[in-house]
Amino acid sequence: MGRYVATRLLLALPTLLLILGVVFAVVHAVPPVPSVEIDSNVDLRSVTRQFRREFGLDLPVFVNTRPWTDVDDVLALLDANDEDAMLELRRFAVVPLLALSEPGQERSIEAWTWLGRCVPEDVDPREPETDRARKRERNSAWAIVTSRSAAERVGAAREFVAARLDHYAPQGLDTVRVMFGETQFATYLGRVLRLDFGVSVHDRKPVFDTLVGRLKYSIGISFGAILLAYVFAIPLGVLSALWRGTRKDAVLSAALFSLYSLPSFFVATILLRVFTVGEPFSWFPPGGFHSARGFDAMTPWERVLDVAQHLALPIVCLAYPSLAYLSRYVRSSMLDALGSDWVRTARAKGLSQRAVVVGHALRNALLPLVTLVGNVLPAVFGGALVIEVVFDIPGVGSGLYQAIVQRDPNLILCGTLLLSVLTLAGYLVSDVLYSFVDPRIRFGERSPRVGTERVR
Amino acid sequence: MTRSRDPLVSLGRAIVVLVALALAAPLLALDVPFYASIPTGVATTGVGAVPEGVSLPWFEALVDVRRFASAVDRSANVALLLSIVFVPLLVRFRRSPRAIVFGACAWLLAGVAGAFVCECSRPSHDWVGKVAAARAAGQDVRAVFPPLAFAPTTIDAGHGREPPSARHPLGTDSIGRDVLVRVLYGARTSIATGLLATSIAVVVGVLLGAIAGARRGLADAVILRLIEVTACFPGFLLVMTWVALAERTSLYAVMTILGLTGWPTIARLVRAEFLRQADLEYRVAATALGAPWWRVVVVHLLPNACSPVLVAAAFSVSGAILAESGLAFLNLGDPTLASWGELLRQGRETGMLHLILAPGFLIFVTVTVMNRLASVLRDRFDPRRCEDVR
Repeated sequence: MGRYVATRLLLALPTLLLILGVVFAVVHAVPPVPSVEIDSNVDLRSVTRQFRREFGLDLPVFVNTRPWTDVDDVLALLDANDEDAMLELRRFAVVPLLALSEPGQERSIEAWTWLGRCVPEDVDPREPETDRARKRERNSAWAIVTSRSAAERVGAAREFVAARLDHYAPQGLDTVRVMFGETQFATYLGRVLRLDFGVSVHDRKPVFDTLVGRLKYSIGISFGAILLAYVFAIPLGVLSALWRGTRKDAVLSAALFSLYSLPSFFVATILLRVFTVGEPFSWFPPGGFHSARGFDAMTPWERVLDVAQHLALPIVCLAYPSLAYLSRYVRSSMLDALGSDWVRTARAKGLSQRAVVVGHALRNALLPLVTLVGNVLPAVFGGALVIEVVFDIPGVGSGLYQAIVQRDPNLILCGTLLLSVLTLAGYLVSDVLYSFVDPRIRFGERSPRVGTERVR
Repeated sequence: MTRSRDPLVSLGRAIVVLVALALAAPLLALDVPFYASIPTGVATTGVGAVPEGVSLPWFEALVDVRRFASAVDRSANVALLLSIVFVPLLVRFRRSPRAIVFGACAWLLAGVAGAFVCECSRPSHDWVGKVAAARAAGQDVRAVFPPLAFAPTTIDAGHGREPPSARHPLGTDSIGRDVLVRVLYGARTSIATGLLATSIAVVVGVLLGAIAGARRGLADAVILRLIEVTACFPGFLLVMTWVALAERTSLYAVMTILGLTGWPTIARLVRAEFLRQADLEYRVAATALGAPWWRVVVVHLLPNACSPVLVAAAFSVSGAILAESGLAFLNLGDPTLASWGELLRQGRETGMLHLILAPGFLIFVTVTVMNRLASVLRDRFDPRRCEDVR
């Protein structure tokens, strides 16, 4: 058992890595841009450059081919006068630029100017002390080179570069390290391993704190929905099993099936229209987690009522698909139980219908239901996105939606990771619970989950 | 049991009606006449002038990139024209499921290919306005329009946000486009998404599932890991991110991503079926008779793995339709296509009931039909569950 859980946890790592990689590729397929007001008097170029430096966007996304920069590449950049691309090449442009600055070369003066811009490095206080010390050493050595006379400086620069060749022209294994290590994805992974998920592009706040702050709202409606679904699904399933083959069962089954196929955003829209705007009813507030005004002045009891009133509609919208699914499950496992030998024995020894159904059949039928939490949890969390957006609840889902619309890479990545971890945890919990409930289950391949998956 | 009580028959009918409505949308609603006879005069001059003389402009409009910006629409239009050939063929061979499947696929492919071959771009003619002007001027104009003379993109100026009326049977949306027309064309978007996403999922799923089940060993282990990883992919989130970040929102990206995240269920089923049948005597006999492994797979194993795949495919269609309308509902849809979810979003913003109920009801019906089809098929294929069927 412990070994099984450990294997699953280990397998979860490559899964999360792949999910992260794919989402990272999608998010960075179009590079994010800084949000600047159109009419403001800022230099968009320098703001963009600073923005790209700040969020590490000046590195290649997955594979760094910059160590193979040669004289022709640099010449092409010189011809195009592409300042940004040249400054993003940085140290890998130094060796080709030096070759071009040799006296007698056609564009030596131009190349020397660029060299002067590419060699000095910014010392970032967030970096480790050893890196900063090396940078300072290089910057001061370069200052000495540039202080030489025009005749001597190229020779001095050649010596400067030759003494630090492993920095400017990495060889062998170093190349591989640069190729895969000095990329946006590797940098991001490194930060994620230290649980640093970065800051939002828009408000510069740590995205993890933002999402965790929103998590309580999501958990509130999700658990409310799961609770509601179970509370209604069990009696409905039992009744429809007891009524099996009658007209009542047919009607109930058809109704539950339709409920399962009703898109939740449609139901949410209708409920909002009918119950919140006063035409014909105005029983519930139109959205939010609690009243915007006067909430702080309420007594605790009033607060609970206020939140309950706000959450009633979203919880119903989130609960009914799971309710339909669960009650079908209760019905079939009740039918299994009612047809079993021990129930016949219970009836034969003269127990009342109530004792047979509740005491014998239901108790056994309910056990597997516990395990379905793992199936329902991801569905509810996924479904919460649309419902949170519609009902304006400040949960993880609506935060993720805003991040996607506003193109906030760190927030999207962190949110996706959070939801994926929850999904994987849900499946694992479901499988482990299943083995507790039914000891006959041996761990191997999971049975296919046809029809239990919903897109939202 | 009489034939008419079989749920499969009524479900099949419902699907045929839905597909027919989606295909026939331009037949019912377009602002271009089937047949026009225009004399020189008012109609042939000015902005939006129409060509004079006798013409059949409707047929040309079907492949006009200016009227139908999306290739989905143009493909459906060509498929509509080709129905003259394919419907009689399908009716003739209706007893053979294989002929129906191949015929439907050929029809679909011919529609897509035809749309790319015949595509044209014509200057925009204002047929409705010009014909009305010429009639008002007392000229002898003959033009036969579809019952609803509106295109899905036509904005009926001065008629925005109207409840149902004689002019607009289901009212208009917030900028004055006819809701009935957009609902008809929206069926195409939904069905196209469902079909394409499911096709991709089925192709990838059957291929990988068959390889894993037939070859075992390393291939099986690798594919099994791939299935586990992909099954955890947050498909809807990925689609949302892609659509929101891409410069131009396109339905094809939606279909592709939904397909590429939806295959694990199918691969798992095919693999399980292959493993179950590996030891059955007919398969052993086939191998003993000297059939190569690929022949055993294609001729014996795959046809038997069909039934669970069909069930999963039906569920996948309804899932893809839900995802498409959900995206459009979140304002992340393809702006060149009419979509049920997009109408529903307008309904939510304006609170107008006709904008909520019409598209919502259609999404509901389509999804119910596909889900019901899946569960009926599942019960049909699984004799153990049969007694439980309602």
